[in-house]
Amino acid sequence: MSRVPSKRSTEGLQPKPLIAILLQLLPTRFRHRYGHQLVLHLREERREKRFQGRLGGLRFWPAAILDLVSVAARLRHQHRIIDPAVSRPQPPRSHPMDSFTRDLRHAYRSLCRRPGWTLAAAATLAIGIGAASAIFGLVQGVLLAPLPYPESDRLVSMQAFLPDLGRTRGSVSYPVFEAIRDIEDATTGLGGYSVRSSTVDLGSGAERMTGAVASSAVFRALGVSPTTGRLLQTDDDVAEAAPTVVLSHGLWQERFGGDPHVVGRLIEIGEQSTEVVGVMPQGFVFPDPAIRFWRSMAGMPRQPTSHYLSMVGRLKPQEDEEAAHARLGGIRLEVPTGAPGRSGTIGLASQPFLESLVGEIRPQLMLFVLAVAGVLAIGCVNVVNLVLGRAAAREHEMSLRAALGADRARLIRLVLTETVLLGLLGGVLGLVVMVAVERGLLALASDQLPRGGNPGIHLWVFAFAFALSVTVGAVVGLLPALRASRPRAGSHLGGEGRGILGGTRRHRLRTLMAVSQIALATMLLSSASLLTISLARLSAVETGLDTHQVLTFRPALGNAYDSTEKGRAFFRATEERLRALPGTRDVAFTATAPFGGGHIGERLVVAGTPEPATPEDARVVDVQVVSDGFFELLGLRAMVGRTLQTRDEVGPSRVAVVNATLARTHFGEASAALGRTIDVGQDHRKRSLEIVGVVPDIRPYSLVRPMAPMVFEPLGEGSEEWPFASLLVRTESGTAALAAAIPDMVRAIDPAVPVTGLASLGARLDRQLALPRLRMRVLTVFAGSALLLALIGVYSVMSSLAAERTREIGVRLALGARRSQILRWLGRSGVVITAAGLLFGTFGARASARFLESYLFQLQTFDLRIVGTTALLLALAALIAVYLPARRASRLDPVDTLRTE
Amino acid sequence: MATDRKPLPPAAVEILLSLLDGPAHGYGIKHVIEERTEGRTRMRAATLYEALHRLDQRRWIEEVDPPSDTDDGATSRWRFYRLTDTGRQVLRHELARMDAIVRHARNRGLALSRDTP
Repeated sequence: MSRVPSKRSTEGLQPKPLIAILLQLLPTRFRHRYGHQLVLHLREERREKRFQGRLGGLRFWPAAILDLVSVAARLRHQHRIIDPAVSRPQPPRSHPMDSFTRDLRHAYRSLCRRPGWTLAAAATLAIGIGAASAIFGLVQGVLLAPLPYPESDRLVSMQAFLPDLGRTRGSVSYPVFEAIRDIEDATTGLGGYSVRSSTVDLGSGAERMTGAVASSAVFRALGVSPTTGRLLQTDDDVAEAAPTVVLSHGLWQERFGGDPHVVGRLIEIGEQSTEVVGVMPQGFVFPDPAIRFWRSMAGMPRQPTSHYLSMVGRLKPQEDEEAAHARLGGIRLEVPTGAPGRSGTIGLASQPFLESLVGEIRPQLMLFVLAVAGVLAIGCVNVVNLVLGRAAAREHEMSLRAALGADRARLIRLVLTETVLLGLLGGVLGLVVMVAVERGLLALASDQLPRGGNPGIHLWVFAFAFALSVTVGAVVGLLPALRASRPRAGSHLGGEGRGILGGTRRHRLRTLMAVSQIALATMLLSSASLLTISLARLSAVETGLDTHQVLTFRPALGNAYDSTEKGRAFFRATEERLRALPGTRDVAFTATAPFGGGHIGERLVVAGTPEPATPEDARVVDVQVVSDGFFELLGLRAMVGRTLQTRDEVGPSRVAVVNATLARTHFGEASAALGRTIDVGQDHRKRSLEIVGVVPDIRPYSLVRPMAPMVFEPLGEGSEEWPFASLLVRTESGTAALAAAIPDMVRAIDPAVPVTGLASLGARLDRQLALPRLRMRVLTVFAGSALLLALIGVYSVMSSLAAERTREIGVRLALGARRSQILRWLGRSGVVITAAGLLFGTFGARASARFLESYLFQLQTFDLRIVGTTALLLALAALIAVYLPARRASRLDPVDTLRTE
Repeated sequence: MATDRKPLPPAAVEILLSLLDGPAHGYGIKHVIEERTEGRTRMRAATLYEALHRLDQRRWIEEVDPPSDTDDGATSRWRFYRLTDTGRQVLRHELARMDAIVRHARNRGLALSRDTP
């Protein structure tokens, strides 16, 4: 009567790797004897009809694995041969391993018995665990994972520090870079680099690509060898050298097919013929994954007016990191500033290179961590509720076990095993959520995140997900476990609910948890809405500028333009040509382009007020030097007084226009500023200016920084600012067409002058908004899930409340209560829960608003209107969750309720 | 009396029963048990072999070569087991014990239904 398996079953007898690993758990002799048979057996079993396919696989594998593990455990812990004549189990003397496997089996079966409940609980946990793991992956990849260079913690980034203003410069010019490099203190040769998007032709037409310009010292500092060819070398840095380029591995594979003979080929970068000299290995990234090639410094601007270089270097081997940074911070040097013949003093600011990449985004990521923790917490509370609800049904079983001699620890273990298993299931499901969240984040934001978000499979993340699942399971089970194990002789729940919140202790706990869920959801929702409104304000015309069709660019004049007349002549020529182009509506000049680029801060003293006692007390204003057409071009009208005019440009400037913030700060209100005099600047740059007009606040530099007081001075004929000027052009024929025409136009005037910073104002603005938009979206998604989970929580509490009062409802109905009265009575507790939750949540939102401070634009961190509206919406949603179960309960037929006694 | 002996674990009884009709390998035993109990008892792989191991150590079953009437090659890798004389005896005693209990209950008027889970 032996059933013969099919012939196929013996083909290729390599057990699946997982099975092979699990087989190792078995004791050696047993495995040698029966391992083979086991594999055959499992193979056959898997082929059975009920285990066919994917779904069948899902049913098959957990049980099979569990079986293997528990048998292995049993076998290994039997030191003596078990006499089969003795029946199992033997309670007091059973080995812990026995009961563990028994608990595991019991937990598994118990979960299987209620698949719907199990799935709901696991799905709730999955949301929290998955999202948390994804955020952890982000944090780990961006903040914690080391950079892909040897001894990357020895790399430092260097910036120029302006002592007068207490700020660092974003980038430096080539002469400044050279001056800093030549110090040769602490680092073994400083490298300069600049990320830029260029027009590249690889042989199949022009395209835009992001690459970097780098000096050879950059590669020496990083210490990575090329996979083919060579790195950039000192010869390539020379200004007159032929341009050379090193390609990234990705670019080499994609566009050159991994051609080993790519070295020596010529490609066009920025319309210059550039020779490929090497290819970097796979996985090499500097400074972020978007960079596809590194071009040499040959031919790059060396004027002091062109600031574009960032600096990186490696600490000398014997240097102590802290000492080095301290020492570098104390250095002062004279460097050319860009005005012909002038120089200024700068200091150095150094920090670890990783810090320079990720330092700014760290608070942002921490915000995400907090938000996801909130979601996880709410989800956990939901599941605790679910488990407690189920525990009620198993009071019998627990009491029985206790009576049969199971000690408290055992009962606790029982419950915990089940919830940990549930947690692991949630973790497995959460993997799906994790991948989705990670993909979503990268899609939204990889160009906003430093290191491109450092995507890829990191083992740490899986370890984290596993650990989190177990922890969540344990935490969720703790409360129910303690309750279940409390000695309860005989009597169960103590009576029906009295009082508003339900008299039983258990219910008080559940309502408390529902309150905390609502509070958490309120906090998250408030944050999300604050961020949303902040973003809306940022992107609205609150910028105060009409940025449609406005292009900006800056011709970087070289040393040849050593006098103001030459500079002015150049710009007048440019203006002529621009106006000659069809579609040009307006042209204006400014010493600082709006939305990006450095800004000039100078000291301000209101005439007639005492000089500040110490440098720290001095007020600083942003000074913009603009031509008369500036305000018109951008659509700014004076609130009081007038804007600048051509006549102001003749002679040394004596007048100025200020913005509303300055007027408010120093004079109380706009009209009070008119006619007053302010002293701006220090030493030889000090000048007195009469205020002739006040304009509304605009945001020229950064949308997210607080509004600064601003002074607009005329860009006069004799102004020293001419070499630094940028142009603004308003066109009606499309900024793209204009952008294409400008480089040629400038080259026609003077071929030695490169065009930098060519961009439309609209594009610049958009870039500024990208990060706030990311913040808002992520927070909104988290807040939305938190809300959903919280509402589910409230609904379940209300349902169980109503269910427990079934008998009382029946009694009341029988005694003549109207349904609306029942509804009100049941709903009361729900309303109290919601109200309490909202109250605590609002307080919590206020307390936590500190975290959002830096991200909120033109909003009080605790704007009552916004928070209030959010709370109201949440209340409405919660009340629905309260109403529905109450209504269902009130519709009960009293006969039924009384009968189920 | 037969009821004085300590009972055998259920798995052992099932396996010994299955071998009454002749030698079988693990997978076959599992199927026999499943059929006989109408699907109520499904032995998992590792548990089955653990039980087989114990019975083998007790010398109540023993390994044999595959019977000659099965396919060559296809089943040559399966190990077959059969009841030893001791095993047969043990099974007999156990069944007698069970029978005594059932008779005792019947005498007291307890009707046994066929569908007890």
